[in-house]
Amino acid sequence: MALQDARPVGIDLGTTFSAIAYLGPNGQPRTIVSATGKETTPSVVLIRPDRSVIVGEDALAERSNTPDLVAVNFKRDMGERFYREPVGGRQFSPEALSALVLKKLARDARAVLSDVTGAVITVPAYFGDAKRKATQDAGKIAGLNVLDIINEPTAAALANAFRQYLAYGGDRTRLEIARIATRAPSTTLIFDLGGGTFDVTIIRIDSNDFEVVATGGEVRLGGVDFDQRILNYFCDEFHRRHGVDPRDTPESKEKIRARCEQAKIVLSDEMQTTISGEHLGRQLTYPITRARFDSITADLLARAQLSTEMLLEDALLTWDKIDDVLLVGGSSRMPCVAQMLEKISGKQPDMAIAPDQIVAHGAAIHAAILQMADSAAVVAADQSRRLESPAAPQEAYAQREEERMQAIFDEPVRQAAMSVKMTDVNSHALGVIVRSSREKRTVNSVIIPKNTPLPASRIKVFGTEAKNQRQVRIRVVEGDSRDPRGCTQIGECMIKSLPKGLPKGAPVEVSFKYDKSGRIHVRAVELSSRLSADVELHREYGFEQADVEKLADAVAEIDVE
Amino acid sequence: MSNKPNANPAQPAPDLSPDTDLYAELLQIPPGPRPPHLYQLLGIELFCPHPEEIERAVRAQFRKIKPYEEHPDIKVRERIQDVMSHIATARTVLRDPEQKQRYDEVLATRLKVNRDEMLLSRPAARIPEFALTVIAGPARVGARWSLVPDRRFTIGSDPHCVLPLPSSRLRGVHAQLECAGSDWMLRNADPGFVTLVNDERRREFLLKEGDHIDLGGYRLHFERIGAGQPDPKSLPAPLSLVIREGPSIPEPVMNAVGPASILIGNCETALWQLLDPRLSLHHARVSASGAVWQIEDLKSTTGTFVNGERITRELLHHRDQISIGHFQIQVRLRR
Repeated sequence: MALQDARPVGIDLGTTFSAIAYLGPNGQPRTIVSATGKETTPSVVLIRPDRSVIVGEDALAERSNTPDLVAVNFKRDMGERFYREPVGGRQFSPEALSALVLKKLARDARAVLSDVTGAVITVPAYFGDAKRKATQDAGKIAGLNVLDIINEPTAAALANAFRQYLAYGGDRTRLEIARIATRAPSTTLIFDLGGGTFDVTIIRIDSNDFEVVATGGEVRLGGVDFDQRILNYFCDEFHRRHGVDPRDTPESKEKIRARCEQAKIVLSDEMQTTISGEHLGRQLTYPITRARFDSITADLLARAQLSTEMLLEDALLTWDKIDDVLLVGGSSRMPCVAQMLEKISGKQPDMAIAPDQIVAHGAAIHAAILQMADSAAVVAADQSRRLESPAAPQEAYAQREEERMQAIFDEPVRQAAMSVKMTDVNSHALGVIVRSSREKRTVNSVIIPKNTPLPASRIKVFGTEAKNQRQVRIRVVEGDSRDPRGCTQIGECMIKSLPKGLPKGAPVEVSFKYDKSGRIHVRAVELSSRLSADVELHREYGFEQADVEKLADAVAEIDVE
Repeated sequence: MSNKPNANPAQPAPDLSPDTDLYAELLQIPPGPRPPHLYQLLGIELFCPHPEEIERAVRAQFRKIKPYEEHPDIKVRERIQDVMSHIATARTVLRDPEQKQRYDEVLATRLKVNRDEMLLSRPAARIPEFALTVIAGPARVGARWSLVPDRRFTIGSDPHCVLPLPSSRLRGVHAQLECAGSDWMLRNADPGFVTLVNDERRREFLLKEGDHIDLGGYRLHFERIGAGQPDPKSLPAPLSLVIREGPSIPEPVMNAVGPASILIGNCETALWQLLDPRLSLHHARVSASGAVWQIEDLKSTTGTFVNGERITRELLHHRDQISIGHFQIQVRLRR
């Protein structure tokens, strides 16, 4: 099969499964199937003693045979120094493990596209700064040109709306798209329960204008928690009957866990199923009904429900203001999810077409939009320059790029894509730890509250605490809690070498900025001396640029099967 | 300046460890058996019969524990999640009459109390007549609390207040409401802080239906439960005013639902206090006019601008840009 033109891709780097997609010429996102013909790839890495690496289906199949060589669910450890346990006796960072998955996905893409010019990678809206930075680094380590990091629910909304434009478009003339684009504004609640994370997001769509109103969720709630409940249910019974517990050996545990996950999937369609497992020569086959499954996982669902209803409260909304409820994420296939949402919202939730691919589709659309905007901007800049100087080589390049885009995408698709505007919000408040003289304790003073439209920047002026103070330390935290223990420290700013003889209360201006992709930048300047002190935001476990490059070289040499 | 960079960190509270009693440390539940029973967990009276009170307590407790869910210690994190599950379960059980009945019976046996006798010997639970609704403020707008008689309601920035409202302009316990017969008495807790009732500064006030209370940038509406709600179509869409540029102020967002009105000015009694010498004390007012929002300049010195034009009175639309002093404020309307 002839290769498609080079273009950027969208990647949903999931806790349990990942997917990669690109935007086809007619505006239809296409999932790239793996070498084994699957639309999603398990986010599982097997590292053999000879350091060869296997990613995906085959690695997952090996999990129960050699659990200590296989890494799973490392997305949950993003932002930490190491994956929670050693793999083959060695410690790996979640970035490096994720990079191996990304590398495998990119390789699958190169079997379809002549080249991958860039990638948009998605993260849960509820990810904080450290986890976003880690995801970006994982992309770089995998050798990808990371165009942007966007939120999974935003990507899902984009894919959903884009599909509607094109579906309504019929012959997809410009006129049709314009008609669809002027529909009345609507508000959608996106309930995204994935393998390991849970996001709930409210998006207002007005023509082609996507505005995230508020976002919430739980960063560690997903399908794997439901699997764990079945596992415990089964193993408790095993222990009761046989006096031994399969959870004591990783081999038995992982084998049974795979069957529990299978049982969960079967229970989405059937009212009951059975699970069987072996351990130390004993065997048990035990039935589980859907009602039993619902009751042993009821508290997990109740947590998701509470987060959803409290998000509405935070967003000043009630259910009658929500037009659509969209279900995303593989775990949303559990019937209890749709039932719960229908009960509390009074609306029939819509299951996204391909709930486990829609996020990658949205990322692919966003990637194409970025590239089109980029080439359009270069062309525009060159056209204005043309008045001043004769054609430069740069211009020829830009023209070619523009023509290439026109060749790849149909005109209506380009029109629709170029008109899309997206506004996201931050999911965590940003603040600094200060001493409150009124409360007589240290507190988190919130500078940018959560659910603020991005990009957002704030400047706050602090006073030095003592006369002749030579340095100021500012601890920057993420979190809404006034108690610093409820916040995640994301960096410390030190302004050193302040001039001598500053009075008490000398003004220090600190500027805080959230950029469009939710990343944070902090700078501080001492004002009275007019000396600016450069401040770097250190992340406790984050990589420095040099580490990223070193790891990227190492990963480049690894052959991922 | 009361807030200073933490150059010399003061005694921080001990960090959470897997052995910390999270129920006591984070939810202020008195010592006793762990896990606590559901009424202890929610900090409400045993066998509490009021669904609104249960819902209020569930949300308050969940808000207290949720910020800790990303604690760096995985063991602490797992225990935090267990407590979150516990609170969510309490809600499922206590809000379902049948499940609550069964739970209450089992609990009564366990505690060796006679539930029916307890409920009978208590003065008949009075049905709440009034509620407080947040109609404007930096957060929590739309939240509504039924005022259950015979208990005291504290309002303040401390999350352990019965009605907690996040704001640095609020005292930990800023004001309290006490039931007096069938009426409610509002008391300001600290003379150094301002509480207004119907735009007038008050130390104590006997509330009547329709009064509004301003404290720390919030406006609360005192209303009778079940009184005819205005037709939602006659009210304007919920409004958010978001500062996009300007000096840093503690509360850069102001939200409101009809029929609130927001006084903006460089003054302690202004609902939205914008600290900027270019602002007049009473600079402008945003208020509902029928089903739309409008802004009115209060004869300010430096003027009020909407989308670049100086105005005296102007209707507001989604994404309009208001300029006041050094502030650029974006209007956002929820349909």
